[in-house]
Amino acid sequence: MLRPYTLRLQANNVIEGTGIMSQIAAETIATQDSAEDMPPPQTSKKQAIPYSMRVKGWDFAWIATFLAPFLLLYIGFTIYPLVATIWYSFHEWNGMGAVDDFIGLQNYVDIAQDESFWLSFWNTLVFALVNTAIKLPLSLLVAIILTQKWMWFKRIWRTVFFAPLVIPVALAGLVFDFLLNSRGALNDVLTTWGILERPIDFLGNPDTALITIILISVWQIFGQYMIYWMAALQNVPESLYEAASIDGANEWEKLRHVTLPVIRPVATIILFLSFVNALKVFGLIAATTEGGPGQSTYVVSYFIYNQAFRDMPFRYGYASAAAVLFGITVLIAVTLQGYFVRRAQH
Amino acid sequence: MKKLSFFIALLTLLTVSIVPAMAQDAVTLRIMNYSAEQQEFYEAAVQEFTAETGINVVWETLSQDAYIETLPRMFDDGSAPDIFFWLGANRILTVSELLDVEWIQPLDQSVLPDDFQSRWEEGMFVEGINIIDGETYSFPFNDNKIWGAGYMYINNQVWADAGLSAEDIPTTWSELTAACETVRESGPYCLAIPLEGNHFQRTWYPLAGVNYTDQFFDYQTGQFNVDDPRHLETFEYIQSLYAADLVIPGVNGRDETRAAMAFGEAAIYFGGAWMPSVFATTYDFTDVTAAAAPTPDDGLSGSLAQRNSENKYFISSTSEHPAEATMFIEWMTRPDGYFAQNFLELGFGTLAFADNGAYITDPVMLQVIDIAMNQRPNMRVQYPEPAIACSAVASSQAFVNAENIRRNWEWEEMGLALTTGADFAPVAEEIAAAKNAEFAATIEAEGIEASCFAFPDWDLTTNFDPMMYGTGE
Repeated sequence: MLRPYTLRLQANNVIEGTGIMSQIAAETIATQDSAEDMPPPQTSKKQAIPYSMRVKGWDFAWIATFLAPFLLLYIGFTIYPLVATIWYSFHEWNGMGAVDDFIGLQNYVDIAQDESFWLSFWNTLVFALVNTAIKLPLSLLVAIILTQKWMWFKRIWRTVFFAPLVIPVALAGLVFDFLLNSRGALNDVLTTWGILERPIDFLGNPDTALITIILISVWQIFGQYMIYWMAALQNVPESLYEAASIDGANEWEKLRHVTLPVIRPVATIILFLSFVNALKVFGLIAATTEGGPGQSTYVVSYFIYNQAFRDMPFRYGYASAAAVLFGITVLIAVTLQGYFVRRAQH
Repeated sequence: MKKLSFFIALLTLLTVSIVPAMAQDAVTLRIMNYSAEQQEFYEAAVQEFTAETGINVVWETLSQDAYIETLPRMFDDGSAPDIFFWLGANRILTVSELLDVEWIQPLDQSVLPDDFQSRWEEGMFVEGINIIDGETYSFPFNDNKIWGAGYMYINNQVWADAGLSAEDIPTTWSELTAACETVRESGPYCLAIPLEGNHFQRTWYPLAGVNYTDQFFDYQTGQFNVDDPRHLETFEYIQSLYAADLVIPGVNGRDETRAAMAFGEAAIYFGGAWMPSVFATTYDFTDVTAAAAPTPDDGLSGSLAQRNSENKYFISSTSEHPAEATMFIEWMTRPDGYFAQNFLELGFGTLAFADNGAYITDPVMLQVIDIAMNQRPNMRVQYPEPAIACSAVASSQAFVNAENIRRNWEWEEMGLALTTGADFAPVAEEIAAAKNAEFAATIEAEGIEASCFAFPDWDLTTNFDPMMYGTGE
């Protein structure tokens, strides 16, 4: 069932001599009806589903049959790994032999005291925040431009911005590794043009490595969020823009008072999706800096990978504890997303 | 017609039933390792073995990362190969590690000749290392005198373009700096040094080994030693090469630096005895000279550790054909057999059970052998083994706990200091102090004497005399 959207419009507009429009200081509200405003639902949650409408008999069997493959995959590739990870985290296990050395919470105690883990946690947080702060406004701006009627070659531009997304992360990392190292094309250009006196090893300098990785990530994933924004923008009713135009709103005012408020619920989802996805950065790190120089680009995913698969003896239990702790962080972020989405909707 | 159809159906059913049953009588061994570039050789070798014995063998190789991740899972699901390659976290105590997780079973002595161990030098089969409670679980594969880190490889073309010749190959650190400056003046960088991850060890080991030791643990004092003045001296020397713009700048990976050297962007790369094979097979690069690592100006004062660390092939505990697997190992380790001859001729490395000089034809590999055996015979010396001094050390977690404070700590901080030009000494002190504290706490908790790890009477430029082992428990 469609629900009208809420927007709050304040416009100061004086149209001299016509008397049609005067200074509008009131709010024009078309509300996304809240539960309080809507009439009671026809099927209340408290009302039992009539027996005649319940699934039973062969219908139930068919539903179960069609759901079974998904459930099996879900249990096998989501639930089981999750439970197994939590199980491993309570054991001292090097990935070889039986998981039989129960040590309780010792792995968590050790992780809490592991400076490398907290450094990687901090780097991950910085990566996610800065990545999101750059990527979202930029992709929104491009999406707005690409949805303008006057914009030419929209499909070509969409393809250009979306293309980096189809490049595998590892390949992107390798390419930028070549481009950005001290003997790479970028330094070659910058030093030839006299912009730099000495080349900068963007990925080899601890002061620039992390921000360089962030920018590479923004370049690569930019197109995906542009598409999200474009989908959100296309759901803004044209009538609202027409009304705003009649009221004399300029493009900036339309953006502020029509577009952004209307897409706010979706924007909240996009924001948190972006943040949560950025928290999981791994491929780019593995393909470029491997956590270095020093530990300046050491992120949680790479910490876990090193502990479990790279450095011997393997520490599956320890890595699992790190994964669980990090997973709780992501869970908190996702839960907050739900809260803010509901708030945005109201 | 009906009877004919019935007869054909019955015959088909019988055939389908009998053939697999017959096939089950033919043994097929599975062997796995991660030397994918040698796959062709392995396939030819197993064909030879099959022709001689009638035992089928399938040799599979994976990339190193995939192999290390996959093999444990294969043991979990019971699909482990009959013979597998493995390098343990502790290269010396790999057999103990694998016994701990029940991955291996001993060689079947009944199919081995009585003089099997005579194929190796005396002392290569040691209780506690590859023999446990009298059972032999593995054998030294690569030799430990020639094989390992410690060699300097020179791109002959880059060297010649700089106006240098074989006589100019540096033998001291000062000569290395001077030669590098000459190369740099001609255009290319002099040195290609990888800094990603722990790859710096390829350059560190040979240069640290000629000055002190390649280890971050001093077996004379029983202490972690990255802050030892001799190690700091080596590091400062390498830092001076960076400061003089003689090294390809940046945090480069191992493959990048090898490629840089092979394709003429640098003159020198420090690497292990495997580099001639790697250069030839991966980069089609053979115009290279191997040389001994330059020593400090006052001469050789250190060594690389020669340890019983090459026990790499094992019979898996899940193998149903231990006798056949042992037969393959016996066939593989014949000093003049097909495997040894061709492995060496193809330049894949050196072997502990064969006369390496007799079969190796690769000229660069022959240079490597000459360096290790003649030019610098004490480049690598026998180091003491604490596990032999005190049997309790075999199960000690002291080294593991010290390492786990922060893995690759030394390499990461060295790489950072080389990149930024920072003073490494303060960090080195921090690392050594932290590791020694953890080490001491662990051995105290385990009830192991610190003296089990210290051999003060041993000169680290000479082979450790086993008579120096105490009774220690």
